[in-house]
This record gives sequence, C-alpha cells and structure tokens, in this order.
Amino acid sequence: MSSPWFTSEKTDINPILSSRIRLARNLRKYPFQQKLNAPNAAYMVQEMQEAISIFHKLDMQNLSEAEQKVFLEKHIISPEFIRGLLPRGLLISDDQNLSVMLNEADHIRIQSMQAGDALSDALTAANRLDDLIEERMEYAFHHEYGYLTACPTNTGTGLRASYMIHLPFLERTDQFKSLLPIISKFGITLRGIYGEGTESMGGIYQISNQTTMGKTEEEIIQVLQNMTIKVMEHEAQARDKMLGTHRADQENMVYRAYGVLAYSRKITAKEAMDLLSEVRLGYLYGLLDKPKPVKQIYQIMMEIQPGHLQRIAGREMDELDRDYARAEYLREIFK
Amino acid sequence: MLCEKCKKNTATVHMQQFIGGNKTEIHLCQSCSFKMEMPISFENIFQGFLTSLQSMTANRPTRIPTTPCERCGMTYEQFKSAGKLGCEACYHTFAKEIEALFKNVQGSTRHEGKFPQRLGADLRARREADQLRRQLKEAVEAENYEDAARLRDQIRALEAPKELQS
Repeated sequence: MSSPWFTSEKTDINPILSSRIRLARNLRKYPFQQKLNAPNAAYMVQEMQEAISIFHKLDMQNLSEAEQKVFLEKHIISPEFIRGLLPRGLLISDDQNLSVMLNEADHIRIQSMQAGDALSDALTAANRLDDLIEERMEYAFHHEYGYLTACPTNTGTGLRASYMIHLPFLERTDQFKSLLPIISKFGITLRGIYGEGTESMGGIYQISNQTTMGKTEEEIIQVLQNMTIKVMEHEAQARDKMLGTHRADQENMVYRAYGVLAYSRKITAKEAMDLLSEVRLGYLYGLLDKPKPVKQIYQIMMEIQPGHLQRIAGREMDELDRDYARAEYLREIFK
Repeated sequence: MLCEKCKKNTATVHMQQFIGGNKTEIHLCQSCSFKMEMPISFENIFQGFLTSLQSMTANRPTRIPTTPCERCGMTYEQFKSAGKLGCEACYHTFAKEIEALFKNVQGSTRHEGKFPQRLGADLRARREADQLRRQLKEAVEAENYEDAARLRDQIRALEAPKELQS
C-alpha cells in the first residue's frame, strides 16, 4: 500500500505542496441534486458504493462532526458536502489519494491527490477511476457540451485542476493585486487554502482553472502549469529581493517562529499556520539551522486544525482547550 | 468614487478581470484590496451574469422560457436563482440561455475533452466530421476546390453507414 500524499517528502521540496484533480460527473438516470429526493439520493449512494467495491465506504450521516472535520482539513471533502441535506456517501482508497464524494453538488465528484508537482499523475489516476465507474454506470453526457453538471460553470470536462502552493513572499510583499488580474485573463484563479471564499492561512493558496469547456483536459492542465510557473517566478523574485536586502530580518522572523512553536503553551490555528509558514521557508531556503521534524510541514499544518486535534485527543474540545492542545502537539514536534 | 466593498473609503485600486472576452471592473480602497484574496470570486461573476441576463430578458419578456423542464419540472426562474440545473433534460429545455451563458462564462460552447468509452467511436466520428465541414467551408470560400473535393470525400466516408465502410 502506498502512503497518503501528505506524508510524502515531495510536499516540502518546492512551493508546490500538492496537486489535485477533481472530475464532476452525473448519472443519467437520476435528476441532478436540486431535483433529487432523499430516497433516490440514498439509492444512488448505495448503487455507487456497490459498483466501486474496491474503496472504503462511508456514509456522511454516520460520521461525527470531528470525523467530518478531519476529512475537510485533509481536503478530501468540501464544506458544501458537510452542509448537504441529502444522503451523501464517501468512497475512499486505502492511501486516501483517491476519493469520490457522492451527492455533493453533483452525483459524483472524483478527487485525486498527489504530493508535490504531479498533476498529470493525478489526472491519470482520476481518469482510471472515471473509466471504471463508466464501465458500470451511464453518465449524463452531451455530444456538444460534454459531461453535464448541475452548475454550467463545470460543464464540459467537469475538470478542476489545482495546485496547493506556498507563496509567503508574494503575500508579504503584497503582490497579489497586480498578479491576479493577469492570471485570470488565462482562466486561472488563486484563492485561500480551504476553497472558495476562504482567506489564506500560512501563505498557502490554491491555484486552479476556472473554465471547463473549449479545451482538452491536457490543455487545461498545461495552461495551469504555465501560469503556476509564472507565479513561482514572481515568488522567487520577491524572495530574492527580500533575502537580498533584508536577510537578517527574514532569519530573525524564521527563528522567532521556531522559538514560539517549540516553547509556547497556548496558540491559535491562525498564528501557528503563519509560524509554520516561516519555518517551512526557513528549511526550504536554508535560513534555519535546526533538524527538520520527521513529519512534513504541511502534514503538521493539517494536524493542528481543530478536527485533527480532537481526533488525537479523542474528545471534543472548545477553542481554548484546542489552543493548549495545539501548543503541546507543536512542542512535541519542535522540541 | 467610493470603495465597492466597504462603501466608506475612496476607491484607489481599480482592477479588471477578463473571462471569455468579458471585462469586469472592480473599484476598491487600499485596505479592502489588501484583504481580498482575489478580485472577485468566480461564483460572483457567474451570479452577476445571471442578473445581467435577467435585466436583458426583462426588456424582452417574450424571450424568457416560460415552460418548465418536462423531465424534472425545473423552471427558468429556479435555475436563475440557484445557478444550478435540475437534470440532464434542462440542458435541452434551456438550451439557448445555457449556450449564451457558456459563451460568456466559459468562452466556448464546445466540449473538446474526454468522451465516455461507450459513446466514444460514434461521437468521435461525428466530431471529426464537424471539424472537416468547417475546413470544407473555408476551402470553398478560398476557392480551393481541390482541397474541398478531398474534404467532401472524407466527410462522406466518415458518415457512411458502418457496413459500407468495411
């Protein structure tokens, strides 16, 4: 069994933490979610769970709030999926790199994750699963429009390709407002770490395609890769400038961040994310002369989120409890 | 001009976003522009487009689709407010409106990507024939009759019934 993407060293070798492919599909015989009733939704979930028997099967209704949060923090499910009212199911591979949300905004949302810069590998895996489903079920498909989705912004390929990318220097130098209009001309968008409308934490962003028609899947990925290279060039420029003229200041920020992570007694998720961002760039650019933790920085970023902390503690915790537990968890890692 | 977001400070940041040849402008104050992760979210643009479609069609009330989708009962009003379709057949019921939307939001009305295997062969031939027909039209317009004749034969071969091909 291969290990989950977030434990791989490949998440920590350049600004790209991970690659993700999402395919939106609907089944021909059921109405889309807006017009789907609960019994049919439940039947659809069951039918899919039986068709794709190689995966672990979970019903959202049977998961606790904390368990749902853990999946959300790993980007396996979306906030919309948690909020949903219809019966929903989750199919998930052993290594958690492949998953299927059943009855999110569409009947089927295939998701494929890979560590580091590996969009093509992620697409290959998603396509294999897509073909497997298609052998057993009939998709809603139109010869002109392609795969039919509930929202016309996904029609066509149904593909959303994205990189999770760490851009601390662009954030620090406030470059996004000049960068965003340029990349959006190419149908590419940049947003905070936990999806639509959420703000960034720890300098981590998602860069993804906006349009799904008029291009093949490979072309969509190619455009995203090209634009991501441009964004990374800007990040490298901002980094070189900051390290060139303010190296001592940057080192100071990195070491202070390390100090707080290693010794604090109480810390919020937001502060910890920002400090982990400093430490990550410290390791990446040789500013921090300390042994690297066994866990990847991105995995630590995930595990200090509320759901993960509660799972580690094995109990529900309020915000204050979590701030203490988070500091304790971080001290263990950075001591 | 006041900032469009906080409606308090003077807008000093002016941004433009282009999607499918459509330009959207947004005017913000410095502090709101810092706070924003991106100029405008895609969903907002999409909703804005639906609103503009609404005001467009409001002037021509005869054009609003009045019959709901035969299969799922979704009305055009429901689609407009939710931004989501009810079923496969809605794409047929509201074809005209959806194509206009594709042009604006997607910049294209045509899927160029993957095909389900079970539909593959037939659809691929149809798509290839469509492409050849476009080339044929260009060849005729350019008075390039030699190419036109060759393209015409290719289209015939593609569209010939299967048993005749073998």
